[in-house]
Amino acid sequence: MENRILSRNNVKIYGEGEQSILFAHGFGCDQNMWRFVTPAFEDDYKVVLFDYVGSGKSDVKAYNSQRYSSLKGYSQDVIDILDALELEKTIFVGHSVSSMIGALAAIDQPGRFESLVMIGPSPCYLNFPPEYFGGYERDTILELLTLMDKNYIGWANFFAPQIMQNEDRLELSKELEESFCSTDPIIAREFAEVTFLSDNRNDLPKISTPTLIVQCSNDPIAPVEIGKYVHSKLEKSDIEVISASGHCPHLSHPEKTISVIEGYLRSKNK
Amino acid sequence: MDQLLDRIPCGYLTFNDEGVIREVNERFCEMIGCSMEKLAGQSVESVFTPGSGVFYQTHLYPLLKLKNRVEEVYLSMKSASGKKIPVLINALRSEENGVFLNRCIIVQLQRRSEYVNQILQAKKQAEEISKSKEKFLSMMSHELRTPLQVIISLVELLSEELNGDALSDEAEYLGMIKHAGKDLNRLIDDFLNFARLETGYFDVNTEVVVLEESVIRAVMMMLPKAEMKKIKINRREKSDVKVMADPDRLQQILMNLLTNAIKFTDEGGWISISTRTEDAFVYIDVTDTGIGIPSDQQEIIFSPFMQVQTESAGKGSGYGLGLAICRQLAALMEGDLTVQSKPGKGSTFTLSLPLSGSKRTGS
Repeated sequence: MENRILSRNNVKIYGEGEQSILFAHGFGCDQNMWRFVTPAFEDDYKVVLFDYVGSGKSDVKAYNSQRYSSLKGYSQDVIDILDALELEKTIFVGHSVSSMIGALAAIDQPGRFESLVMIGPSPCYLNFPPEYFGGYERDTILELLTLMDKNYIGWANFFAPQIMQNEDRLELSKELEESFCSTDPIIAREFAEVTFLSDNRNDLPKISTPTLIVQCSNDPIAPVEIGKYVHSKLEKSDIEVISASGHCPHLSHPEKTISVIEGYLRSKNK
Repeated sequence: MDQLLDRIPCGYLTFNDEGVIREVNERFCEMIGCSMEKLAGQSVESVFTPGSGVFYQTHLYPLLKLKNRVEEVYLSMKSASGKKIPVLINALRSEENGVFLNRCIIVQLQRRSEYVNQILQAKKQAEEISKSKEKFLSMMSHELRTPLQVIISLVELLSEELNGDALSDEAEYLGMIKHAGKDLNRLIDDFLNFARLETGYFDVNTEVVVLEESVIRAVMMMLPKAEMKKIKINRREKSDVKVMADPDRLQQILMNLLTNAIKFTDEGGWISISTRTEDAFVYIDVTDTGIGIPSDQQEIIFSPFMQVQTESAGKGSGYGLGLAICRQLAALMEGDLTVQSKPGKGSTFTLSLPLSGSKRTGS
């Protein structure tokens, strides 16, 4: 095992099964967001959880703006983890932006993936009328980036480190960081830009790995139409629409999420 | 709605896990100019601006669900007339009769929002100035390097023309010009490296490196300087470890550490280099018997343009860029550079680098 990669991405392994299943969190969170879902898979699978560099308890020092300036850098993280754990034919479950990160990894190394499960995927969040409506104008994303700045203003490394030498201030920063899944403000901002400004529509037809799209019936971030768009562009895909509101069914409706994933994996094994 | 909640001077709103508004107080209705009847049953996102809606979905709701509370989340609401209202939200999630409810206290903060905007604007301006400065530095370094290279080359040519009369005044002067030129070149290199590191345009190409070869090469190159001050360089037990590093950058760091050690160690002192491995890292300690660094300055020396401020340290020259560059280079190679020191006793600079692994890909 490659210790450095495992510590860089804070990789955790649970479960007794032979078949590996890797859960990849989305923007704004860390591996904790899977905690209502993964226990259901631990009896039958080797469950692998991790944090992208800059999220959760990953090694922030390993962040490199150039590498992570596109989703490709994050997909390399996924491949690094598969390499480090010597995993082949893994089931990849990705939430939101991780759906496309997993897709890029599967395009790069299709043999490493048994199947992909995309929860609330979107290949492009921006509108390109008249042919594509991702749901957002660039102004909305800029507003989000400003809001992130305003929320992260108290963080230790938001300003030059020299300004933040005061011990009390560092403690305050620590609390703030913990309240936001410990992401570094600069990395979080860059991750937001990569997430919401990327356009991976042309990558969809290149995905040869069987894919399940899990879609909430009322998801303001990735509406059903986007889920259907992804479904229409993939070579081998199924789509399951969960009757739920929001963008995080694995948090708001974990049982339903478990059920559709299990159902899909069972059908693949028949 | 409880009458007390209607009288409190801040907005109050509850929503369920489906994101549907259950209750609001009068102050909240006033704030956004909408009636209780209209708001109840609506999606909580409908009271946010679009960007805040994204933040709610990606941050606020997941955190509430995972931690059952969020504090001081800065968002913008939109009034019925379309006005943007900056607010601060504290929220708690709790279960009542088997149903989860998210309760939010919403404080309007128009003036604070303006101050925050000013801070962000100032930060942006400072970052732009910093970028311009780095670009200027980079350009200047290039402009200086080209004529300097011509001077050094011509001095070398002239030296050859002197036909071996090494003791002549001319040869001595040419030697001084060459020496000064090389010093200037090194300084320009430091400026260039620093500017590139700061702007993020700096590549490190990591590969498997036999550490001992780099250490020995650095020691051999620094031996003449050390011998001039009668300083002994002791390489303790040799190591066969392989590290993931950019060989040129590793060499640069080792040379810099040895140069500093020689510079700040008195005649007759010694320098030792030892290595140890721990977990997935190798630690290279460069220890000297030099003047040492006061504890309050041990971090400052890694900041650009900062040098130790003591009388005894006055003997050194330079611009305080070397260690700042070395630490950044170490970080780019996924390592670190730290120091332990006692004034009057000496210093140990420790470079850590990842050990090479057989399965590593990409970086």
